Amino acid sequence: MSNEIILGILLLSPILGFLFNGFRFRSQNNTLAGTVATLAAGVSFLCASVLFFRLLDLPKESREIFVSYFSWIEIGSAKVSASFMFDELSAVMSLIVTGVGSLIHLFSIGYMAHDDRPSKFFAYLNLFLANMLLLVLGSNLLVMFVGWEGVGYCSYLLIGFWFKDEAKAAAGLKAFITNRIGDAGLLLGMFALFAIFGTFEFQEINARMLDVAGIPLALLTAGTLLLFVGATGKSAQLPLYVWLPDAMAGPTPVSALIHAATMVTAGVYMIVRLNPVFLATPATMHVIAIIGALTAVMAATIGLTQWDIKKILAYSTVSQLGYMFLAVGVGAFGAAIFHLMTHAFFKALMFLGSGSVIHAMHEEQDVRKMGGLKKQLPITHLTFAMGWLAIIGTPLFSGFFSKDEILWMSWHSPRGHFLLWLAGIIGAGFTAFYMTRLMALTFWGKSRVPKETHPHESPAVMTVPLIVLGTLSVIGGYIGVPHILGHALHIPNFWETWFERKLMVVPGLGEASAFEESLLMLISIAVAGAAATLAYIFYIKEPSKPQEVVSKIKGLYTLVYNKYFVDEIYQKFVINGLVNLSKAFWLYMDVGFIDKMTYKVSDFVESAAGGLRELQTGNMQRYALYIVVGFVALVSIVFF
Amino acid sequence: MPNIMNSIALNHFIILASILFCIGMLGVLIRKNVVVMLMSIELMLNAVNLIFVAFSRYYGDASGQVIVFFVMAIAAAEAAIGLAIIMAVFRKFRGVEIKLFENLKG
Amino acid sequence: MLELFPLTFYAISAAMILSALGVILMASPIFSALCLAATMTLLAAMFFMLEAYFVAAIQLTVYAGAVVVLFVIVLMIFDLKKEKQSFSGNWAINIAKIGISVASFLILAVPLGYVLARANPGWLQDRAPVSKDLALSLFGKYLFTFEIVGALLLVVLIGSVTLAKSKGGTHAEHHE
Repeated sequence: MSNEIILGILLLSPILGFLFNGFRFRSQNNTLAGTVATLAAGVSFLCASVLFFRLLDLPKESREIFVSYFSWIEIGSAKVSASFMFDELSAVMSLIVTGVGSLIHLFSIGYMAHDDRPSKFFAYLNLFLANMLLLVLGSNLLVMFVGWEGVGYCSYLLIGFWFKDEAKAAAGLKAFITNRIGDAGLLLGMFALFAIFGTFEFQEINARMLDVAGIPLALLTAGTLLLFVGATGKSAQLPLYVWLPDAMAGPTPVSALIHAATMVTAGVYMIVRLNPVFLATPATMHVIAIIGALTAVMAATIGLTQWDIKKILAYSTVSQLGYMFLAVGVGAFGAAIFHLMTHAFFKALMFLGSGSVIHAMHEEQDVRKMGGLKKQLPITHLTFAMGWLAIIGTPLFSGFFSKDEILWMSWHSPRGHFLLWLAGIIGAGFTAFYMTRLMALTFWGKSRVPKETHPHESPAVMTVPLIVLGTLSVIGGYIGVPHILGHALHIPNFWETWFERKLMVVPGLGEASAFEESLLMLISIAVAGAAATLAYIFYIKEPSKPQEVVSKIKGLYTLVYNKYFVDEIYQKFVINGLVNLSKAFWLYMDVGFIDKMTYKVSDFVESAAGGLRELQTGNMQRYALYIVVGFVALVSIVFF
Repeated sequence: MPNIMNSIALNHFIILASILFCIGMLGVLIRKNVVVMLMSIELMLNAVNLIFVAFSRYYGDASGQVIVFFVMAIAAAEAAIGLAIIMAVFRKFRGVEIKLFENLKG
Repeated sequence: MLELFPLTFYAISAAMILSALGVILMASPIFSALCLAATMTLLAAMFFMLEAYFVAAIQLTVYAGAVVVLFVIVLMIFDLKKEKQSFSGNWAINIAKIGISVASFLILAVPLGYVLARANPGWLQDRAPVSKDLALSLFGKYLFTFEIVGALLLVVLIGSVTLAKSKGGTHAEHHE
């Protein structure tokens, strides 16, 4: 089968699943809907794998499959076609999206078994998958944008899936609107790039960037900065991250798929895709790195204080995304994608695991009411633990390799800085602490579970994905083993060689000093280990300790617990201001001016007509007079 | 007939007819009594007849007089109908001032 | 060659204008009618001067003899009291009306009179139309119009009889 057909099946399969379930959205047959949806996702994964193996057969210099289906927009000299590119980067992205996606679809069959609208759910999930594939496979900015908007829309639909609860529906709306604000920046950035390069195609833009001469740097910087604004909206960075914690109102598989593994990574993907452009604008990269680092630390601090299991994971996601942007900001594009992949594994795993816990606890999400669940939920506990070890950076687990690469590059790269590395280390410490806290409060220690709930392990359809993802969290890192370790074990860094062609190296990157790298690695291991141990002590050995610490720093604790009051600040200064402005416009311009003008016109017509009406006196002599006057006037005009 | 200077030309008749026409028009505009208004209209029609006859003599064409013939017939008919209407109206309103017929005022 | 004595012309025209003014200015409608009769007769005299003998005769017969008489009969039926004020409207509007009439007179007279004053002041044709010409024209070129006017007169006859009959009375008697 030709590449066009396989790629076509890849893209169309989830759409067909969407149509099937969409038309039958009232059906309550969960098994049928779920199976169809999972099959659709599975077929896409299969196609992606086939294309991946075909890629391997191609020689390294031309390792890409480019398919153009039809010409989409043609305005003068601007031509955009619906074309897709399966190259090294999009291969990895699509494998992650379809692979993890299929597992989550499978999990949802079990999770949504008692819902009253399962078909609608699976339809939305498939639609999301289709749009995400558009995003990562599009060969130009416009096709990517279609997918970008599409996933935003599906995110809104899925977050507000239980829309009858007003708070949940509001959360969906918040996600969409915050995204939209970012999208304004994205659009402006796209226009700036088009103004400079005259094309939207990634390949053409990146090729043009090989020779930097003649490109207006100020406009390029503005363009990349605006693109980054779009990325902050989609990938939940400062200042547009506020939607992600609220997005936990949606069903847990949604949180796993969209807000951990795929959609939120779109911003990272976009920047990596355009890495030559970003490398040429160091100012933007500094901004990205700083915001990434700040977000990583800030979100981690909030995660320390939360009691809702999903909120903890949400802030963790924001924090880990911060790491990805930190990586991108210092020029470690490969590391960013690496962390994207490992994060997809362990975060999706942990979200699904939390879904399993919530399911077992009959929709209870407060960790204060959990504890000692490792006895009742053994598989969930085991797999969750694998994810936990990965995220805190335990050596040999996947998260260790990826996070370490980021921390190393934030120190070593010419665009990096000691402070950035320090922020990363501090964030890593917090991460280890709050994840261990989560484990301790949920699975270990004494059980605080109320007597009525009888937690039981989830069915196989839910545990199998957990096991698969758990395995990936453990072994997934071995394709990107850093050299200093790889030399010893004779494992080459597959990741680096795979991406060599597509990811440009930061100019001025010197040789890596084995000593420095090892030292930094040891420091991060030590910090993570210390933080984890501290959390263990706090929550298992001496449960009263946390309360003591909190009472000593009451003010700071309140600040952090309330998420630094960011939402309140936005409400007061931004939203209220806008609403009042709109009200003022409505009152003074619309009602006061425009409406008044229309009334004035009609009043004028009425009074003029009234005046003219006076002419009809009914007095026939008057009419005769008018005739004569008219006659005189007419003849005078004609003759004289 | 003594041969006095023949100085009466066509335009004399035109001016005379115009004067009569305008007097008639003034009568229509100024008088209150409907019957007098009708009489003024007859006056206007007569002025027109004068013009036609004068022109007929000027060109030597009989058509002008034929038209006068018709105008006279029609004027008489119109006067008859008009007076019949006024009779009917008089029965209702007991008066023939023009002021009484203002039903169509706006 | 038409020889019009200026004196005759001016005399008759002066009288005509005076009686026309009398029509519109007389307070009593009967006097207006009388003035109208005088105007008609004088107009007939004018027609005689123009050698349009047939038309002059018809003028006397139809207008002065029938139409004016009709007016007088109707006025006598009405038996109106003398009106307090015979002119409608206030004095200002009347002045305006007079002005308008003067204006229209000027419009009618001046262009045509001016145009023709420059033309041959004499009369174009020596020979005046005679009854024979009139008959030939009437029953030749204008035959159709003649017939139509006949039909019109029939309609007028029926119409005026219907209108002038005391409709209200007959109907009311029947309903009683």
